[in-house]
Amino acid sequence: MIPDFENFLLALDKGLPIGLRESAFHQFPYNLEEKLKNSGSVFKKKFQSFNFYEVEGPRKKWGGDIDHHLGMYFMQAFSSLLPVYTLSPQPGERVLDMCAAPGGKSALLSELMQNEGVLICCEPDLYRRRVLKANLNRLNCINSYVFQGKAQELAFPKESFDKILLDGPCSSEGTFRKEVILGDKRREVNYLTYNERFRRELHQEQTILLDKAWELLKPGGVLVYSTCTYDPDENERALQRLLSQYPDAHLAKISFGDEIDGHLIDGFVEPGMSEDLKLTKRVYPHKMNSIGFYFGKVVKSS
Amino acid sequence: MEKLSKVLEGLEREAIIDYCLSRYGVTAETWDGLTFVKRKEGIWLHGRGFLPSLMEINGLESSGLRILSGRSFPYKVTLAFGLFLGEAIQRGRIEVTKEQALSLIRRESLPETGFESLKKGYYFFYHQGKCLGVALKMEKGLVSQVPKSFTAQMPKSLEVSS
Repeated sequence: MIPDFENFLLALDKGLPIGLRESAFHQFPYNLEEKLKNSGSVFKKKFQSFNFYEVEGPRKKWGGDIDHHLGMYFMQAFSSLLPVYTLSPQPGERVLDMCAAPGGKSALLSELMQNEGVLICCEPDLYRRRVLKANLNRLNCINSYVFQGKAQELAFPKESFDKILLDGPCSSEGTFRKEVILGDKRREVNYLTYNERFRRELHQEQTILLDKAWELLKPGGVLVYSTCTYDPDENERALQRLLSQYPDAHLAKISFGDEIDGHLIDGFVEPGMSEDLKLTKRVYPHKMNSIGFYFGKVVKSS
Repeated sequence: MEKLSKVLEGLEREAIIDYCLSRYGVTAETWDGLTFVKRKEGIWLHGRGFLPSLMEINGLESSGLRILSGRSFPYKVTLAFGLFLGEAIQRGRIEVTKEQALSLIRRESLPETGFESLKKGYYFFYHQGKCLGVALKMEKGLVSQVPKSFTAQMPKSLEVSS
């Protein structure tokens, strides 16, 4: 299922790159590229069409920088931007981010909406919600609302949203890299608790969230489902269940242009599954040096 | 749950805009398309399309920015005001040295020296073109208004750590 598997394994032995995305909402003349040049850092622009840079150096150097605190840039993985650009929210729309913390994707959603319309961000955990709110504030996202609970508890009427991002809870296999697992207690726990029960519970949660997303999506609306894992149970099979259950659900083509498309792998299809699942995309660390990701774009018939 | 007081419209909205223009030189056009909401703790800024009815949904709170704190005029400006508006702030701003900026961020007051000519009131302090916080000019000097949470998060230096 994973092409060029040897190189995939080699990529897992390397550390995760540090990515910086320049915020669009800061009101000071600012140029992240100039700052990186002046700081003498080793960096490269990830792709010409994105204001995104990969930098070297300890993570805390960039997280502790004053410009980070002032909301000039945000640290996140490049692959995590792709589901947001796939959703492509517009100013004035009603958008739901079902699993929002820590807020990197929410902030980009808000930027693409040009701070207009309504963005609802869900996060049940108090600590993670504080982080989410701090990030949304720091990045000047003033069209957002934070829901203190799980997205499935959201008391909105059916068909309330034009667009929904469901970056669901997952086994996070895409973040498993040697240095990360050894250096991050939370991910160590994730890795060690990755058993049948854990998978079953995750799958159940993903199913509930997908059903809720479909209920809340307007006809003609777009749902982007994403995870940072490779497991087909949490990815293609989860979307296959949605397609089978809801006849008004259709997968749509995803394209970012030649510069990016060549780094993405088509979704996995097995006998009995919809061929359209090939329209979904996988990100592997040896094809695009970033977190492993999966995402698909589902349109609701109007 | 956070309680919404009201969306400011008409004369109440104009009063806020006039205050920001006269005290901080922020032009009226800057606020086009933005919504002011008055709550118990001050004035919050929201984007175009703000829906007050959403605040009645249990568990939902807005993330808008509190740009003015206090219950009535004269309001106190907040750091969020400075960061959101940046270059749009034309008055009520002072440039400080790196040492002075670090002291204010540590919530320490600065003595009168260098700021004698300032009238009493709230000022945004800038260093190298970046707004870093708010200070209150009093007879004894500048008193830091930087929130504790911001002090805790800010790096010890104002430069990229190496």
